[in-house]
Amino acid sequence: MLYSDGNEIAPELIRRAANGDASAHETIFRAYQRPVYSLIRRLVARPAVADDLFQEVFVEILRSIGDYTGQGAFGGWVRSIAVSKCLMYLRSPWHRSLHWLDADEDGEAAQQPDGAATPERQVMLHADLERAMEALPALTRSVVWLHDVEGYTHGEIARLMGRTTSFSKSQLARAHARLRELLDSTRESVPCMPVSTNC
Amino acid sequence: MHARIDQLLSLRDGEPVDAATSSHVEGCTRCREALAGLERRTHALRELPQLDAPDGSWQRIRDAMERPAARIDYRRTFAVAASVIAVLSISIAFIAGRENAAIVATPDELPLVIEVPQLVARSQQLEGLLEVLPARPRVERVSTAATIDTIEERIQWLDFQLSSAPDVVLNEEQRRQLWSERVMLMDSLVKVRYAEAGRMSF
Repeated sequence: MLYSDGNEIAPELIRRAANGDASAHETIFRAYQRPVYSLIRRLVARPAVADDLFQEVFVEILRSIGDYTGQGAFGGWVRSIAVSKCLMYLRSPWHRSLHWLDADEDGEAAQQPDGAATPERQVMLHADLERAMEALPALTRSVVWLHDVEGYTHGEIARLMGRTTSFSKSQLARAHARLRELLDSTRESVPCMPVSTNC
Repeated sequence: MHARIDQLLSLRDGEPVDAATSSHVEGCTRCREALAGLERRTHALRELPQLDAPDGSWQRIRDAMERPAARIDYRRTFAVAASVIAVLSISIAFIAGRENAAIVATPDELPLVIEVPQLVARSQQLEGLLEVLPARPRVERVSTAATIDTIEERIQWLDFQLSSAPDVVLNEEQRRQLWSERVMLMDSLVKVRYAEAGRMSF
């Protein structure tokens, strides 16, 4: 969970930000920039688009902070804005027209087998998983992230996407089948290195 | 018969699964491994490191904040926007209706008070219709493009309101009104897009 790690902002700071206090704005930015940017990058794989959305999300957060009622965690409110903006983008005609550029069905598979979690290995595993996630279609990837990481229910995802609960469930199942395929295939694709001899 | 991935996901998430599947998984090495793999992957996803925002982000955000906002106070503009949209939707329905009246039901054909689940279902049905329409042409009439953009923006705003619901705590009537407006706009959008697609085919 990206927003429940003690990152909560004091109500007084939120009030100051709502009144236009620039230093309060910056404090909020510093506190949430990493979780928000990470969330956006996981939903929208294309970095240039993610960067634009990141800016839009923060402008929206800081401009509409006065609308935050104090009900529910501030982090959850921030997250809902980021998720909403990303899904707007994914549903937009602009994104759909670029969709053919995505390596949705033929994304490169990860390149490293499972194994002991040395720091180097851990980094490789993360990179493999990131690549496998990026190989998923955008909406499928969003369902996985929102359900498995952000903790949204299938009902909430269906409502956000204007789809059915069974759509969300089937996307999650397809995604995991695909992730397994991508990650397992890399084990098989690890090239056999010839054993060196003394010759 | 081994457990399907959706059944394994239900087991992972503690959702009800039929007893036969559950007992099969308990006794089947392959299914247990598949379930453990799912759990490992989910754990790994949650452990992915956070990413740093690009350099200079804060400066760009500050600069953007200094520019006048297009829509600062949604609540203040809500009434005006709703009126404009209503007029626009009626005009669009009239124009699109002339070109093809039979494509989708108008809100008038729906019962007077519609509950949220029905509105959600209707909205999903209209989303489905939109998806099967051809992509927007690269060159389109300015008036059509502006109309579509206006409707889409409004739908996005409604989605934002609805998706913030867990935090904002909308009451049932507010949700019903938002969903109702979403259905109306989706209906108009389908009509305009359908009319546009019809023109493209000539």
